Amino acid sequence: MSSRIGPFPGTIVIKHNPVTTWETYNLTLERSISVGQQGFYQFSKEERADEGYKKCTFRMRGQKAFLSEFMRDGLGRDLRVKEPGGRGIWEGMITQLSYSVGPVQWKVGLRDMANSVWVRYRVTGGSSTVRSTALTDTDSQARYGVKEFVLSGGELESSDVADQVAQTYLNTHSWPRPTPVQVTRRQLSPDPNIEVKALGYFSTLNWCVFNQTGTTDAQGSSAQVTEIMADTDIAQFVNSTDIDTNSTSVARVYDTDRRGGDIIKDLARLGDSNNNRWIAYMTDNREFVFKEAAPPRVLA
Amino acid sequence: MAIVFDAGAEATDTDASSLTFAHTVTEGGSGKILVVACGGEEATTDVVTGVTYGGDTLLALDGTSDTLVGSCYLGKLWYTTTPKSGSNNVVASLASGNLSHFWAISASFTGVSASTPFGTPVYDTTESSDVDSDHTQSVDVTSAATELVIDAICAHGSGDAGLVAGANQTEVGDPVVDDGANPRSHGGMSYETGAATTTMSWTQEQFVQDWVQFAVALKPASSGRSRAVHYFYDVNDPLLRILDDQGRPVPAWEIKPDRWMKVTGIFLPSASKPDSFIEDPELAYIESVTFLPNGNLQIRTSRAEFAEVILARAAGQTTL
Repeated sequence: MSSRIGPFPGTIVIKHNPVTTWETYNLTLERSISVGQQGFYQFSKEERADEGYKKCTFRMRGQKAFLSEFMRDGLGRDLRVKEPGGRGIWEGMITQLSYSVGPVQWKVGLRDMANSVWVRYRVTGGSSTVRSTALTDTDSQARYGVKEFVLSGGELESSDVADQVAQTYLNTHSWPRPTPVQVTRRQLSPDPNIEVKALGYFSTLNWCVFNQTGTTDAQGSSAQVTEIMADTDIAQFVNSTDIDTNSTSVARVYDTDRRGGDIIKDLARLGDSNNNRWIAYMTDNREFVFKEAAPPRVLA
Repeated sequence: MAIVFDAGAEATDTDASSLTFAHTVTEGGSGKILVVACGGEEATTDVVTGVTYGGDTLLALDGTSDTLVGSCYLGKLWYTTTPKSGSNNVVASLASGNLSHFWAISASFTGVSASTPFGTPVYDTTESSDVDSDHTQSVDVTSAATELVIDAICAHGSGDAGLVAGANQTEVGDPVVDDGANPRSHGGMSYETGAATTTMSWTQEQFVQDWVQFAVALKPASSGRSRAVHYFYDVNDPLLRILDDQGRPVPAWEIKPDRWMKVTGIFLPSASKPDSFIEDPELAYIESVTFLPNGNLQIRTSRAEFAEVILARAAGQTTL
């Protein structure tokens, strides 16, 4: 179904990364209605029952110096969308920027960035998999937060070889790298602009993996979610939690480098003993919520 | 939904017709409630007759009353289920006269049912003739593990030490009002997770004459939505408006997922009544909402069935 109304009339507020706070930044954008006027246009946003705020995209106009600075430092910044009355209706993190100026388009993003890398491998002739030591780029972590990548090493001779593989990957992936997407002989757009893409903070729950082998019993799914959210790397961008009780029994052992957000979504999919659907999402002020979905019946 | 303590505040005055103090209700959250308890000394006809918060009038909880034992006065419990967010003033007033050694305590919580916020209040009192030093006052409340029991207490006497709440209770406040030389009136408010029987107790380790205490359970908000159907959409509406449950148009960018929508104008009226929303062809669960650059709105709906249960997954990477 669709419902037509005019372009979004609210504002977009961009601030520094709320966790790493490596800079101080505060920018409020109004809707831009003409070429050359600093502001945003072509705004869209998506919100889902699972995950909450999902993604937001818009184009941003401005002076070249402003756009250049934004391309250089804009990734990882906090983005909030406010309706005309000032109330927040979407929030997340800027994860991709595409800069169109003249005949050239450049793109930079956080998708392929990883600043904590290790290898899951099996020593040649061995029977079980092991993990190498996590190699990190602390400068990148201080700017963007911790983002992990696990390489699958197959069979390797020793941990030194595993570390070599991990370091090579880390060297080329620990910082976002601007990449020319198009170089043409025609003007791609009449005025310089950046296409900004932001993802809701639920996506950051998948920046790190969750492994736990010390305790091998079972517990309720809400207790398991609480345990995952207690991991300071997985929940690095979570400001608060609202986790309702769900006693559906789940195993506590995780040893396959699964992402925290993926595990939580699967735990929600189990529902509860009353056959109700459950959802997990991030909402305003980076609050994580785990609770029953809107029930398919009139409440007493 | 769990009941969670948000914030507390207190104020005192040796002799006044009203008390004004700031209380901050945290922004965000749902199922909010603000409660205020007042007390003092030697109140006969001079009782607290009204409490406001941010200019809004609070209600007096049925089952609580202006109670005077000896020289110890504990007023009704005042509350609102729609407290303003942010910092606002609590104003507790008397219609006439002044209250000696006047104290007031406020507390706000989230996760409380708006329709039935309280259980039944229970009182207990002790007069001076029954008290010697090191007295413990207590009251038992029938509640449940999902509830939060709160209590308020007033003690009149010259004990120097403040009141001390029982071991499982969390104190919101324990003001002591003196006459410049000796303590005269002691107040207290606390909360504790409910149980089949919850005992709320306070102890004073020196001489205190009269005691008044009441306790009541806070009821949790239901974990689902309080309004079952949020949005209404008539396919024959030429303006393509989506209306809320009050019939007001909702701006496209404010439509939220995890809500139920009734879509009318597709089927002819019928007397059949489905047992649940899943069976009703006019009801759909909003899975996702996308606001598009050209102002269009796309709503993806479902019957709110379970997604497939993931039984096993290989280790892998999830990219943004």
